[in-house]
Amino acid sequence: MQEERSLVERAQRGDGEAFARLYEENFDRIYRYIALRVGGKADAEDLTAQVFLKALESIASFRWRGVSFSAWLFRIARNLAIDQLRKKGREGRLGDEPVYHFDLAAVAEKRLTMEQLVIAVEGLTPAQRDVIALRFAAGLSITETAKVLGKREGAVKALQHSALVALRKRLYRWRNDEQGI
Amino acid sequence: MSREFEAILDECLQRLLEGESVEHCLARYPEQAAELEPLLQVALAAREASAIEPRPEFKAQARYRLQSALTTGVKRRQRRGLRLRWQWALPLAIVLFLILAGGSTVAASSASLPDEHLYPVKTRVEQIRLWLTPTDMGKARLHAQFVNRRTEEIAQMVHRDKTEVAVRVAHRLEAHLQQIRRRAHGPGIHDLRQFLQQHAAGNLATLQALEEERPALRPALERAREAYLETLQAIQGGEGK
Repeated sequence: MQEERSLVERAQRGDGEAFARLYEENFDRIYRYIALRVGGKADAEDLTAQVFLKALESIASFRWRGVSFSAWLFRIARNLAIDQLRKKGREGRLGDEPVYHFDLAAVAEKRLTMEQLVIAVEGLTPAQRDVIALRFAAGLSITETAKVLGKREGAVKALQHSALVALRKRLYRWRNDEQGI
Repeated sequence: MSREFEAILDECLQRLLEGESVEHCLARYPEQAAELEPLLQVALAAREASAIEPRPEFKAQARYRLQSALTTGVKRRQRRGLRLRWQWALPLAIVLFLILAGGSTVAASSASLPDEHLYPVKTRVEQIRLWLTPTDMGKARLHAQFVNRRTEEIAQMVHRDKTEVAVRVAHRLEAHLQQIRRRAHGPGIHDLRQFLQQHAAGNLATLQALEEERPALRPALERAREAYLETLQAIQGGEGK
C-alpha cells in the first residue's frame, strides 16, 4: 500500500515510469474484471486501454482519502463498463436463455469456460455481477470490493452470498434443462 | 440469509482464494458444510474460468498507446504556456481594464482555488470568456472545460478540509452541467460529446470517492453526479434541454 502511494505521488508529478509500474500492476486484473462484466474480447480490450488513458488524464485530481488508487481505477473501469452496457442496452437486463449447457460436475471440476461464465452471470443483477467480477475475476478482497462499489462490507457479503446462490441456481437449471428434468 | 453464514462464507472464500482447499474450509464449519460446499465450488469455478490473460500483442499495443499519451502530455504542457497566453489575451486585457490591477494578478488567478483571494478574478475571467463566445455550442464547450476545473477544485477543497466551500463549488459544477444541456445542439456536438465522455469516468470516480470521504458533501455531490449522468445521456441522444 505504501509503495502504491509513493508510485501514485510520483505519477502525479509527471513521472512516466511510476505510472507505467501502476499500469503493470493493475492491467491484468482490470482486464479480467471488464472481460467478465461486459463479455466480448474486443470490448474488454478497448475498455481496458481506456481505463488507463482516463486514469492518466485524471490522476492529478486523485486524492488519497480512504480509497486506494486501485479501487479508484476499478471505479473508472466500472463506470466505463456500465456506460458500454448501457449503450448496448444490456445493463439492468436479466440474461437471455443460456446458450451453453453444462453440469455441476464440470463446475466442481472447474471446467467452466470464460464464455460460459459470462453468459451465466448475465442472469444476475448488475450489483451481483459486479461482486462476482470484482471478487473472483479481479481477486479483490471484500474491503476493496466495498470501496469500489461504495457499499458497506456487510452489504457486499450479503450480495456475494446472493450472487453465488443465483449463479449456482442458474448452473443447476441449465443442467436440468439439458437432462430434460 | 443470516449474517453469521455470510461471514463464514466470506471467510472460506477468502481462504480459498489464498489457496486453501474446499475440504479444509468444510472441516472448519461442519454444521454449515452442506450449504457451503456448492457455493464454494461455484466460486472456485468462477475464479478458474476468469483467470484469463490478455493477449500479449494487445497488452503491448495498450502500453504503446499509454506511452504516446504520456509523451503527448509532456509536450502539451510545454506548449501550453504560450498558447494560453494567446487564447486568454483579450479576456485578460478586459479584466485588467476592469479591475485596474497588474497583469500578474490576473495571470496568478488562473491557478487560484475557491478559498483564495484571487478566485473571484478567475471566475470573472471565465464569465468574460463565455460572454465573448458568440455561439451556444462554443459556450457549451467552455462550460465542459469548467466542469473539469470545478471537479478538481472540489477535490482540493476537501483536501483542505473546506467542506462548505466544496458544496458551493459543487453547485457551480451542477450549473455548468445544466448550461451544457441547455446549449449543446447542432454542429460540433460530436466533439463536445467526445470531450465529455473522455473526462466523465475520471471525474465521476473522483466525485464518488469524495462523497464517501465526506458524508456532509453527499447530497451536493450526489446531485452533481446525477446532473453529470443526465448531461451525458442528453448529449448521447444528441439533444440539449
